[in-house]
Amino acid sequence: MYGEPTNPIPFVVASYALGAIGIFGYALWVYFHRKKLTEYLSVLKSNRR
Amino acid sequence: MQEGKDSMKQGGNLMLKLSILFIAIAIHWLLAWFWVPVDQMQGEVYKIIYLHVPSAFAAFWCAGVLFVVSILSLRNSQASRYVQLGKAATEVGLIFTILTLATGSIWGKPTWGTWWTWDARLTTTLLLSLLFVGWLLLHNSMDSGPSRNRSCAILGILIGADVPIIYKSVTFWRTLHQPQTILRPGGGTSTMDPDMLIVLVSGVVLMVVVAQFLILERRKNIELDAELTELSLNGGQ
Repeated sequence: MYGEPTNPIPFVVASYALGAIGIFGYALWVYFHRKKLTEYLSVLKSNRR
Repeated sequence: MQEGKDSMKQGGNLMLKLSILFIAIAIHWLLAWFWVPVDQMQGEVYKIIYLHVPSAFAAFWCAGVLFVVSILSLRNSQASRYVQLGKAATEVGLIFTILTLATGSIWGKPTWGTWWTWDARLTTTLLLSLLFVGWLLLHNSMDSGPSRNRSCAILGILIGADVPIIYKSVTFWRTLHQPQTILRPGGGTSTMDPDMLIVLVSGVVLMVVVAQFLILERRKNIELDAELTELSLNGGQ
């Protein structure tokens, strides 16, 4: 803080990029996983009939 | 045919809810970057607080959910359903804990001059992430049944007990991390600028809502997965 002045922008951008990857990435994985599971389930249930 | 339509409708509903949450988070981050004033001491870099603190509270919320479902699973015959919810809370909690540690580390470099130090707050938060990993390893390494449910419940209670230690660590041990920002030690009010405070508090509320939403949606996937496994094992009977 009292040494060489540091450009803060890369630190802020890196933090929010990580946040976006973590939160949005996990949410999208949940979405696509749900899609796959419901498709498999409907195929399995229709085969049963 | 009808089931296919239902699954498409379910997927569409989930995408709509996710879009609303994404937009809410994007608005909050835009407010944090462009609307709140710059800190007098730290300058722009303090804006990491609007992700760091909400992530920490979201991780605490997940640990709280795990704590409650762990107690309920010990006292209930429907323990498996609580363990499914516990698994979802642990996964989401791990993501938010990693995010808290990562953003704290990135914030530490320009302000403290180091990426990491064995400060009490940092160490207890690292412990929380390791406990979440341990819970998932324990859950995946045991066969489903009362023994796994009980072991996961005991570890879940221990994880919940770590949260007050993390929260109070800055007052128990005076190390490098700053004291609480929103609720000051000794019951004092925050010294933050009101514009900064309102965006920070709204960010905490929003991230807890996001965490709870992710827990519930992930739990639904775990239930579907279990149903699928059961149907496959029974040969579709």
